[in-house]
Amino acid sequence: MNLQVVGAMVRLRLLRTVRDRGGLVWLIVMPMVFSYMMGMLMGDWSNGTPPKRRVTVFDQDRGPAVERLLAPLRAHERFEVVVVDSAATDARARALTDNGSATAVLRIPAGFSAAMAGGAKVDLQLTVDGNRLSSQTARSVIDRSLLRMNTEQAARSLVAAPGTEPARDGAAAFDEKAFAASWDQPRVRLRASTLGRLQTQDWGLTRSAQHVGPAYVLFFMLMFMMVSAKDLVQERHDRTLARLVISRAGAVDLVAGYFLGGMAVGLVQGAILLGMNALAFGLDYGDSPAALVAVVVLFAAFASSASILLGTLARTGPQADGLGSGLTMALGAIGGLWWPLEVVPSFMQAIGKALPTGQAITVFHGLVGRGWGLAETLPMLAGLALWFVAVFALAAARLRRQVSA
Amino acid sequence: MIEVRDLVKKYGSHKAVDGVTFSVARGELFGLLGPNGAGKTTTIGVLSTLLHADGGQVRIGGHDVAAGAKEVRRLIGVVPQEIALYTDLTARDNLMFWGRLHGLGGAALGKRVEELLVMADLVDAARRKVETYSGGMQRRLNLVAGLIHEPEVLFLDEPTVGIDAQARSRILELIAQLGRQGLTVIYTTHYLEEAEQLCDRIGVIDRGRLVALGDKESLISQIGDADLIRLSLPADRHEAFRAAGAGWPGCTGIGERRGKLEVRTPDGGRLLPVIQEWLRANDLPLEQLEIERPNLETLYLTLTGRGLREDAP
Repeated sequence: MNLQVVGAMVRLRLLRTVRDRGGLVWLIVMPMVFSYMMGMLMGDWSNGTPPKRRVTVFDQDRGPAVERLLAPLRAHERFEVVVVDSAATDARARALTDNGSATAVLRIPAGFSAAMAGGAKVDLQLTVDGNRLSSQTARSVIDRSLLRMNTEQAARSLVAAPGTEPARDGAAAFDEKAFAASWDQPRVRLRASTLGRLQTQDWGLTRSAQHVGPAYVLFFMLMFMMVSAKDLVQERHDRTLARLVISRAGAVDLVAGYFLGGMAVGLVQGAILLGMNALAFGLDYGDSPAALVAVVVLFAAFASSASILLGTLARTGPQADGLGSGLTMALGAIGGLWWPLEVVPSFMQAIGKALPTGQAITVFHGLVGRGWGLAETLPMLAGLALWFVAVFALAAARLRRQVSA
Repeated sequence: MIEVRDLVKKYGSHKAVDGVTFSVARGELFGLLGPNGAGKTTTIGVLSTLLHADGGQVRIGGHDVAAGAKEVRRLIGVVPQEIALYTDLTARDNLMFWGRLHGLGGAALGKRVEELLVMADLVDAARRKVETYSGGMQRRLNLVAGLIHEPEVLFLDEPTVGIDAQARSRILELIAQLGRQGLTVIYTTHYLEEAEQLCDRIGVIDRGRLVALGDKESLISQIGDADLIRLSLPADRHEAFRAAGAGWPGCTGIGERRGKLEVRTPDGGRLLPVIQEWLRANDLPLEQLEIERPNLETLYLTLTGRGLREDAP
């Protein structure tokens, strides 16, 4: 491979991208505008301090443990706790969440405080709106608060258990059986029911920006690559490609030059947009830079290959434009870039997750919302790599055929 | 420098080039003349290694274009008929890119780019995007881009298509300058006057076949120094004119093209009074009567029965 030729082609691609001011709008500005707009449309404000979401509490206990349970929720910056002093029914809770006036409704039955003091066991009833990401956060905060109270209750019962002898080092002897019994059968349990279609247990995201930020980075990376397929068609028509062929560039150099040129643009675009999402919307991409780099590199490689393939298939510029836009829309919508795959029926989820867009956004969801490391992302990265290899092989074969006499 | 023997190139069953043979000496400016679709661009395509020949042999600088394409590409520069440039970039950006692609770099590349900008008279416009250039400026840049690596042979495929007379004149001047510098040039055109003005030798191509080859004088001598007298007559008088003309002294043939009668004669000045007399005697008006001296157009017409500006069927 002639590195000077490949380098010249990569440099040319970057130069043409930078010189095209109209293109820069689609490259950088539009993705940020879309992220901002979609962040609003999906229910959570993506920037700065989000407005507080209401959690309505029907307190039928009115005991001292209620405030301890609710304290973490009250302290949370995203929630406003409204305690309603009346008997509630499931129908009432559903009505409150259905009409949007509450993110979650918590019913604390009479006997809750007594249960925490060692009395009869009770269940708390939590109703959440599955279509609102904030409801998942409310649930996890209540879960955590309850876990703490149950653990304290178990600890107290252990300390108070008759026959326990202080250990030599001063710590109380630990009765594993008694602890296990308290742990397995807590005094108070949280029973949650979800409204709407978003009935996933591992959603993990707490803000719409965590979806729309990476989703629109991927969408516009693909879109920019696909619509630039028309450049290759143009180069074929105006004989620029012929001029490239009779230079010192061999077929392999040209394939590498086109591929790496596209990839370079995709990587620069991806890096800028991810950086801007982090700065503007406070996105945290998790603790695995390797997985983050891998998904962006593989997706850029796939997008660049797809662009070349389209450029070699389309006969005219407008045809490349139309096909490129259409394919990007389809891959974006079905692959879960427009909306999370969790909100679509399961068979569509399966299709979406098999697509390169679905695999890439699943990796991002894992990184930003589920604390995934490189190991958890490997299956999706492998799928994405397969897509890239398959599309690149087709694109390279077609381009080689076109640049060979 | 260039040897072409029995070159054949087919597209399906259609022979775009059919047994073409010619050679071009080092430093020669060779014209390939023919109408659109005659096979000029296909011939250039094979010579420049872009197309595989289906038959025959082409050697450039001693290298076979099929077996030694890499070596041939080092020797040649190609200026396509289309503006094969990145019009969203500046002239300088374009030349720098093509230079790098040919292995140039550093100060040598910068110097070469400046030379070519001067040659194309584009120094003042070098920082403007090519898409803002006039047609003539784009053509000049297209031409010098083919020279960036200082090739020994330059293929120019109709480099003046679609530009005005003034811009064409500047391009022709530029090509003549290259010829004087000793560059070997193959120049395709369907503009007769360009071939006559520029080329040392000319090959006339029609329907993929080379129908004539030589310098301008030798080509014209092939049609026997015939003058051509054209006149318009009512269609019902054509037969009578042909019958009369057969007996006129010096009339070597009467043809018809686009509704006009064409009379061939070695000396138009002597036959003209005879024709005028016949017109008066037959009470016909003397309208649209002209004499054409022999030239390449006449030659082409004689050889193919069609004008140069007519597309090949």
